[in-house]
Amino acid sequence: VKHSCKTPEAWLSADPSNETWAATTSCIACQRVIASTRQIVAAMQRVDSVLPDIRRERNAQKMRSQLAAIAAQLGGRIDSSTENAKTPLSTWRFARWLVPATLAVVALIALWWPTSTSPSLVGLNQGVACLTPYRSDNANALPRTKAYVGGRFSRLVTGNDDVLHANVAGGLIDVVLIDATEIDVRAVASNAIDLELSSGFLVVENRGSATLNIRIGTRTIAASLARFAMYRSDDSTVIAVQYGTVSVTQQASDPISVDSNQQWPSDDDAHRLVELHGLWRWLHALSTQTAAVDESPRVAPSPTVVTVSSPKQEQASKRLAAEPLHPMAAIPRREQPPTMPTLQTAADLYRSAEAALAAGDTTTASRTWAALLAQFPADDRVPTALFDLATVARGTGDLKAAATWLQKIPASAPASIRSNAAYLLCRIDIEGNQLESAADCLQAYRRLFAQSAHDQEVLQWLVGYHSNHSACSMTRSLAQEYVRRYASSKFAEQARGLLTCGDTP
Amino acid sequence: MISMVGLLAMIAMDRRALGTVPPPIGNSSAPVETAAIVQRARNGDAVALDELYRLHCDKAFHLLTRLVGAVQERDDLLQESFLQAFRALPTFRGDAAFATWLHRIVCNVAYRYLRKRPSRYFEELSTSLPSQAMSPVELAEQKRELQLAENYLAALHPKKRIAFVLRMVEGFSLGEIAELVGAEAAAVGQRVKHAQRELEAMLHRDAARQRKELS
Repeated sequence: VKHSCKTPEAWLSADPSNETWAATTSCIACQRVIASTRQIVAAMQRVDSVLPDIRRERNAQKMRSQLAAIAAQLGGRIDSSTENAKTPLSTWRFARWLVPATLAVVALIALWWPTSTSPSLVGLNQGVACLTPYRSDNANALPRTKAYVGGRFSRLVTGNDDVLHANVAGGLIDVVLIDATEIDVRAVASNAIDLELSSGFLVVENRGSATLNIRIGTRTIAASLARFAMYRSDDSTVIAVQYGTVSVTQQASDPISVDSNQQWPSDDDAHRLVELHGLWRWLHALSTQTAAVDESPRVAPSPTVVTVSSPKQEQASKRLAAEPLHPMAAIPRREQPPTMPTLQTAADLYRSAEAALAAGDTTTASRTWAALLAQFPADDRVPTALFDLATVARGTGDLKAAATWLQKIPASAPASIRSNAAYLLCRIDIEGNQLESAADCLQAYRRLFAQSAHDQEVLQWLVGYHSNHSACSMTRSLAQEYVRRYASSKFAEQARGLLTCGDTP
Repeated sequence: MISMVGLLAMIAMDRRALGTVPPPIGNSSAPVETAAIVQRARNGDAVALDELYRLHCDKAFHLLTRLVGAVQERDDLLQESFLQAFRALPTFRGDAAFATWLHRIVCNVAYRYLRKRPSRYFEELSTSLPSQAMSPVELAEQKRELQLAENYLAALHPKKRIAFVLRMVEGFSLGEIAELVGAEAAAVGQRVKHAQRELEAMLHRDAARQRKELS
């Protein structure tokens, strides 16, 4: 039955059981159903304001990382203050002036600073140059700050030990600094990051389409959707590409593109200042060292993997023509399976995924969670990641994928996750209009999680379902249970009416 | 004749009596355990901070939902409220209950959010199961009603909206609201009254427009 919104009487008089949900909703949408403020109040009182278990746990998990810092602050500055914590709205009026004034002072310092010290290395702190230069061998200077710039969670740059993550509009960028590496963060924009490598090793992965530029003297290395390692010493630069394409641009010359596992042909003398090798083994060696950074003392990279090239074009040309480019160049490519070395911990991956989700990038979030499942199948975060994947899939309307993810949640997962997963599975049946299956599912759910926070609504749904399907004995039994357990609820009155289901009047 | 405001306040009070509304948040007989946890938290005990979160997150979430609607940012706002509260713990004297103090912060966070957010209204619909005991028409009506209610409230100034919701939806007294939002009780009363008038004006205007369209 297709109704016109101009004749609401037509659908109001129709049998609701013959209506499709979409048709009904679209017709209702044409009606103004609020006529008084009392209705507004009643509607607002119906909004579900219960914090689901899964979200409570997730919020607690999110906060936990910050609680330690707050606790440390509190422990250090508790005094016998008798001032009560009044935070009236007028405080924010004052803050409205205070914040721009502070920003202005910071901007003035930032303008003044680069001319006052040379060189001016800064940490990954949005180009604010008043912080200590970032050197990975100086633990006290590590940028551990989190900065939110340009809007809520739109750009998140965090520094954590030697791994720096940047979540920009185009996706996630990870920069790993090995040993005594020095970098200068020149600019962080909404969709681009501009770094300068002064010396040392970097392993970089750009998992999105954001622009990543790394300057090395007069050259600029640009890469998107690529993973590569690079080394810079006084007079040479070596780049190894694991996947993706890296382009190297020198002033007044065309860019050179180097693809995954490919070696630059070096037929142009103008570009021989840079040697490019797609040697995944070298990269793998670097990443192994990186993974061990936290547990063991730092080990300088083996000198055999570093090629020193001449800074002069002619010398480089002659040398390259006379001998093999690089000792590692002789290694046959693709000898080992092209598995990605593990550079991150499960916690890093989970944080990256959450940051991507907060930025609205569900694709990257899903991919990162999937990477977490692949790399750390036994990690504690796996059940939550599976649940998150299911939620994202459900959000995109892919109910089948959502159900698949939920079914993978292991039995060893915490009860709160198992309970929510089981509940969501049943809801997916309802959303897919598999009502019979949903009824079975919800009954099983009640048996497994009798004390669930969803029990009331599940029971209500089941009463309604069996009542609609004229299953009187079942309806009576469920309605009886509902009345017994939730006597003061709104639906209890209706449930009482159903206790006489099937009785002859 | 009982005014509309008075009638709604009575309805809200009835709901509280029936137990469908959480008890007043300014309860002075706060459990001794909470005071002990607060003291531990003030001394920098991270576990106590976590406990405080778990004890109070449900009520804070409920209040946030009422104030800003069922928007997706509720979790972020909840986190922000708690972090602000924890950072300000050294200034918490303990005269009022911790919950009251926390909810004052929640109100401020909600106020700032309402001031900043663009004019989009309802992002996250109720997570409750659609009841099989209701017809599709009833369910759709409820859903639509909720969306419209949120639209009307979104048109109010955040201060008026907060006062209106706390008074009419939650059933707090003017004194309680005054304590939560840091204003005089008389000023809160004015805000509620103005909110009521503005909502009624909007409803009349829409009703007239619809009558015109149908004719």
